[in-house]
This record gives sequence, C-alpha cells and structure tokens, in this order.
Amino acid sequence: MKLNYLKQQITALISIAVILFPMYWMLNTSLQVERNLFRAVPSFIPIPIQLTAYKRLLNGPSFIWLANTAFVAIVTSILTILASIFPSYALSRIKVRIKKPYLFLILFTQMVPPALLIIPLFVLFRRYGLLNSLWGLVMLNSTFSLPIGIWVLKDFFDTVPSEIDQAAIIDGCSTVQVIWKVYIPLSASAIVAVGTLAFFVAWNEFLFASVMLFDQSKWVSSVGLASFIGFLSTPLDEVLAGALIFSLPAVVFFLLIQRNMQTGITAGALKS
Amino acid sequence: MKKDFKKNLIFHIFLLPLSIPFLIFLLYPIIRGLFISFYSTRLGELDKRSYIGFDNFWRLFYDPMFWSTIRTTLSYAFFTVMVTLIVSMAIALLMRAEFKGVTIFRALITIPWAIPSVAAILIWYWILDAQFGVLNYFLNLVGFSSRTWLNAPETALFTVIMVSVWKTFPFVAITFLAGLQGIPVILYEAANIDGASFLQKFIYITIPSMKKVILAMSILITMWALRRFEIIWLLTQGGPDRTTETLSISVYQNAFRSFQMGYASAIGITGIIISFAIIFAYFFVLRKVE
Repeated sequence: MKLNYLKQQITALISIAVILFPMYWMLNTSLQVERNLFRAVPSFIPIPIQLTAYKRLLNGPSFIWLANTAFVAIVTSILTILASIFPSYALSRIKVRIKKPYLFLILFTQMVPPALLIIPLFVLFRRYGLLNSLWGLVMLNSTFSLPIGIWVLKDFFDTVPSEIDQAAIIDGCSTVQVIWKVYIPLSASAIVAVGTLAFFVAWNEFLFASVMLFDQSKWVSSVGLASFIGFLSTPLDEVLAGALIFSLPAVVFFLLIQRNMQTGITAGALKS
Repeated sequence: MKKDFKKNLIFHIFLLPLSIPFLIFLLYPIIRGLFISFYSTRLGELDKRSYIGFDNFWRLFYDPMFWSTIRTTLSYAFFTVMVTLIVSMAIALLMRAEFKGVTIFRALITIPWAIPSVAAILIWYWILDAQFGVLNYFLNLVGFSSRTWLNAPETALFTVIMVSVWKTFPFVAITFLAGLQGIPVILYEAANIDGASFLQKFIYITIPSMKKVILAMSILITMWALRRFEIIWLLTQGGPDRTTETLSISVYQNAFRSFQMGYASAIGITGIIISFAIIFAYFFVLRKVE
C-alpha cells in the first residue's frame, strides 16, 4: 500500500512537471538576460535575474490593454449572471411544450463557428457605431457565454425540489419572489460558477476583439499580445513577460474559485 | 386553455434575456450569412452584390481544397477528442487517488485551463521554435533530431492537436473526477475481494459507470474542436501548405484574406450542417446507451 502511494506521488509529480512546464518556461524566459535566450543549450535558471522586460512593459500600452480586458471580463460576467437567472428558471420549472426547441437552440449555439458570424456582425456593428467599443465587445461576449451559463444554472435549478416552489407560493410569494428568495440563495455556488465561466470566456476571447477593436488604446490584452506573434518588433522576454502578466490574474482567480467551480458545475453536469 | 396561454406568456417573458441577444447576435448573423452565401460579393462592398444562386455551393463541391479542409477538420476533431478523453481519464484517476498532496495536485494540474489561449500560444510558439526551442533541445538530449514543428506539413497538425489537448483536458478531467467520485465504493471493494486487477476494475466498473459522462463530454469537446479558431489561427494560420486549415480557418481566410464573402459564407453554412450531422450521430448513440 505504501509503495502504491509512492508510485502515485511520483506519477503525479511527473505529470505536473510536464503539464506545467510551459508556465515555468514563460517565467524563466521573461527573467532571462537577452543574450541567454538564443543559445544552443538553453538556460534553465535565470542568472542574473533581470526585470527590464517588466519595466519596458510598464512604459508600453500593456496595462491599458489589461485594464480593458478586466473591464470587459467583469462586466460580461455580471451581465451573464443577470441574464441567465430568469431563462434558467423558466427552462427548469415552467412546464410548456415549446421548451425542447429552446433547449436545442442553446445546444445549437455551441456548434456555430464564430468565424462565420464575424462578417454579418461586423456590418451590423458598423451600422450602429459599435465598432471599436468595449461595450460592443461586452455584448458579444455575454451573448456567447449565456448558453453555457444557462446550461449550468438550469441543471442546478433542476436539483432544487419543486415542493419548495409550491410551499412559497402558498405562503403568498410571486414567482419572481420565489426566484429571488429561494433559488438565488440556494444556488450561490452555481451562480458563482456561471460568473467565472463567463469571466474566462471574456478574458480569453480573441476573434471578435481582433475584428471589432482597431485603436491600440481600445485593444484588449489578447489582441495586443497576438500582435507580438512573429517576434520581430518586440523582444522575446518582453513578449513572454506580457503573456505572464496576462495569465496571472486568470490563474489566481481560477485557483481561488476552483473548489466552488467543481461543486457548481459538476453538480448539474453529472445529472444531465 | 387560458391557463396554458398565461404559462406560455410567462415562459417567454422569462426567456427574453436569452432570446433578445440571440436574435440580434446569433440568428440574424446566421440568416444574413445564409443570404450572403447566394451572392457573389466582397467585403466592404456588400451592397454591390449579384445573385448567383447555388454557384458558391457548386464551386465548393468541385474545389478539391474544400474536401481537404473537411478531411483536416475531421481528423483534427477526431484526434483532439480521443487524446483529450484518454489524457483526462488518466489524470482524473490520479486526481481521485488518496496520496499525500493530492489536493495540491488537483489544483495545479488544471491550471492550463485558466491560461488565456493567446498567452498559451505565445509560450508554445517559443517552446516549439525550430532553432532555439526547448522541446528540440530535450529531444536532442535523448537522441532524436530537431524538427520544425509548426512549419513542416507532416508535424503541423499533430502539434496543433497537442497544444489543443493541453488547453482543453483540465475541464474534462474535473468533470471526470466528479463522475468517478460518484461511483459507489462498494463496487470496488467487492472487486477487490474477488481479486480483480486495476485494469479489470477499470474496464468492468469504471468505464460502464462513466458511460454517460464520457459521452456527454465527447459531445462537448467535439463541438469545441469543430469550431475552434484562435489556437489554430495563431499557431499556423492554416499552414504549412494548408495542412491545418480547418473549416473555421477556411471561412476566415476566404472572408478576410481573399475577401470572398459569399464563398466564405457558403463554407460556413456547410460547416454548420456537418457539425449538426456529427452531433446528431452522438445523440443517437447517447439515446441507445440510455
């Protein structure tokens, strides 16, 4: 038995080392002296540590991009939560014939390649002056994280015993009050999970942002960093320092919220 | 009758936060895309279009490049899904184990999911670099020769698949873990008494109990793989020699590089129909399983 644990621990260590190696390499590269980067034998430990890449980033537009990303991600996350509550309740609790087509429509959205939507959306955004606006991007991101949000939340609402509804209604509560006083407090972990999923969708999003935003000052980090690809104009250590700073908030947030995510998502997902 | 009407009304009012954005940002663009696919038109000159009926679709049908795009999409999706399932299952089994430090392991192993795609691609780009990349360095150490991972037609698709798996597996592993934790321990204890090996327990207990979860996850990651854009686009832009050009990439290339909006839309519509067919097949299987 002891030996078995040891074997598992070693396997776990090896898989962590392999899977997290890119993260280590990102940190290592961002701290290296530039002449150490292009050597036949790569340098695995940054000696001497140099922070100039980060200092150069401070003078560049990276932090404006990061602030834009944070704005888009936070607003998207709030909007997605707000917009998913009522539809989730309706899909979970109101018994009507037309429910099936709606559920199918939600699934259908996961099949549409966003690349196809880009052309008509671009034309639409141009007509209504939403190009180059972070709010426009927020609308798109919220729309496309809604299906996942509703999927998670509906599954969670399904697990709430429906006797609670009836009891509350007998007590004189309206449906809206039932949602507000019963469903929302009961499903706090699922709601946080929905917000987190939407946050990650928005933090990650690249395609829409790259087509809809064209002023450098309006860019989000994903677009800004993608403009570094090719490594010609920006030094490598600075590119990876940027990638690291862009990843860090997401990783920290993810580690903080992880346990809740697992209960929030899987409680419903497993049942369906 | 009247009560049904009221119920329906409330249902639809409650659904407004979903249906309004869907109509504007999803249904309208799809219908518009369908419309554009019957025209010959260019970006920026969408008003100067001419109706050509099914010509875009006929052109597609006789374009060998389109068929190779479909082949690429299918093999990309198939291998991404297969490798993701296997890796996720292995990691989930390890996550379920009860060795010391398993909580830290569970937290750390899923980090790639949180890394934004663009950041992940920047780092992989550097790791995979043909001349100074650390992957080639490691391979040289164990006696393999260097490769130009992303620039050689033989390795590009494989490399893109590996990076995609690295990014997607954590979500699947977390779900698998929850599924594994739901299997009654008694089943394993009984098997232990009968002296079953690890492999036997895996095949006769774990897999059958997880059938539904595995299928549901397969559907989800197949859909993700079929529509994936930024990982492929930023790593290879569909190259070299268009060996990594999937349907999503092809739509983007035709729309924003060759400016053939009508043709691009026709590819996109065909892509949706193919995804539909695949997902339907899955549901058919899912129903049989149930």
